[in-house]
Amino acid sequence: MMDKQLQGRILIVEDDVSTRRILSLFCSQQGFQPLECSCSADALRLIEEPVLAVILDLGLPDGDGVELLRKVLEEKPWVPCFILTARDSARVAVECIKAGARDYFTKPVDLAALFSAICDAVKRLNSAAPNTVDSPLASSKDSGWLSKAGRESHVSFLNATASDQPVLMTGEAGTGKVRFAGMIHEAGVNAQGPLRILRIGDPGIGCVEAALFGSAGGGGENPVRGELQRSAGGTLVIHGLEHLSQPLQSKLAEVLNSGQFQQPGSKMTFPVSCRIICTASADLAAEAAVGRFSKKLWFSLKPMHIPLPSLRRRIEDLPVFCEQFITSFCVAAKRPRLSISAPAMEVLLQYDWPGNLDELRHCIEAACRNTEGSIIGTADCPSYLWDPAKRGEGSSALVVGSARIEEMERASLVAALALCAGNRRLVAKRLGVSLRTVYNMLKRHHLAGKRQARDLE
Amino acid sequence: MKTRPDLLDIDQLVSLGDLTGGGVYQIVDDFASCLMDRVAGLRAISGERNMGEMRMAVHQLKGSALSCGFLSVASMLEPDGVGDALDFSGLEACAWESIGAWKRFLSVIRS
Repeated sequence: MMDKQLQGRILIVEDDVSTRRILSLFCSQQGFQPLECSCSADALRLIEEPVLAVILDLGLPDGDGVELLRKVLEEKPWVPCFILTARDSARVAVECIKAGARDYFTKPVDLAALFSAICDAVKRLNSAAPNTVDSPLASSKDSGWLSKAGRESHVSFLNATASDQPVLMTGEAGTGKVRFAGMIHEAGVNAQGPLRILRIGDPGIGCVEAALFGSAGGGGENPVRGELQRSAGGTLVIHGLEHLSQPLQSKLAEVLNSGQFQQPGSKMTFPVSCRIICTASADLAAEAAVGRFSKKLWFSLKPMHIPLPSLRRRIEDLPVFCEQFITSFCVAAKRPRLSISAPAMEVLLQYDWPGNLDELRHCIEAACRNTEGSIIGTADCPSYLWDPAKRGEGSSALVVGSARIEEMERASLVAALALCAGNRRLVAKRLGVSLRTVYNMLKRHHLAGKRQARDLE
Repeated sequence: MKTRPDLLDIDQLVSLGDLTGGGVYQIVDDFASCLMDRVAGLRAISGERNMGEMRMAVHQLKGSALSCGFLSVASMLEPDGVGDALDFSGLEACAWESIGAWKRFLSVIRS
């Protein structure tokens, strides 16, 4: 039986029909699913689908193969590409490898060698870059992440792709919630359908209710489809769930429970035919415990809740992320591959990344731009990472630091409230502070209720 | 009549057959069946003096010939050299011989 890590699609871009048929036949016999095309235009269309690897002939009727290779890697930098050519030219081989090809084969192709290289690349991708949509991680139990938190989120990912239940992802800003949602979509049962993202709080969407459910229009005419309908057969990502108003939270809970919805101004009922993935930066369990978030919605989403760890909680995985970001940058900028020096890596590992993966990506891109050689040094990284003076004097660092202390205090308070069923005296005892301090904290974090005056009397 | 040893890459064909459980032979046979038509197509394109199209057609035929083990045919096709007149008579003769060699190989394999 075929190794589950290797199941998936391989895109074969080859204009010569005999070679394409032979590759396709062998591909199928190896347990892969071949996706065939004979020109650049079709290749660029097909690369949008999840693929494990690409086999690319250099001489195509509608364009230069090396240019196509660059475009493919711009779209999917993590996908290993293997070049085929009828000419054994060292210059072309070097050009392809520089452009990011994994390997280069001349015709007649040694099929065993080609597919051995593909299997190796796919396995390496599986262990080195687990957070990529097309990586076979979707079927792998071995995530390759070094951190416990990373491995746990990978297990959650596998569970999420194996079902079509609604998913809730929570995590700090910059932890990659939307990207993770996209991965679940692409690896899940609705991958063939559309992936749509509704960002709650984005001023561009106007009325959230209409954006989500659509509207029946005046007198039932000119109905407007909402995102729930537009995502039919695919996945709808509702980003920033904590910003949804309480009435809409309740309505969404109803929708999740009943599997159907009504448009505002209409009595007609529509079935929900898409998967719903919600994301939130807030701790929704705590928010629900204090009544700031719909308990009904929380309990509807809780069974498939994926807490995404902050980067500092999975700092062991930082080198893998660096590798991914460097590769993406170099491919997009058409630059030779860069590596990172040990001292620079040490600097990155010492920082606590309040902006998580987004901040890391920006820092890596800045470092890549600053690097003149082939190795990123410490000085190429943004100075606040390695200059303690700048880190200390930077107001943003202090703000971030104090903001985090505030967050931690709020989280402790909310957790204590939940554990003590809202009893302030028990909360004070649990936190080791006076009752008045508890009330001051409640007020500061906007958690004070009507009971305050009565309790203090 | 004995098969010229340089017409087909027998080792490659046997290896491909082993790797694909014989499935590749139908593909090679299809190539052999249309080889003369493809050579005639090349000749027609050559008459039109469209060098880009000619280069692409030669490239494709060479790729097919290499993948299907038709070594001699492949060696006569040089996409970069299409500016010089291709030896169509030689190519047609070589293609005929290669097809014959392939048919004999196939009958041995299937017997």
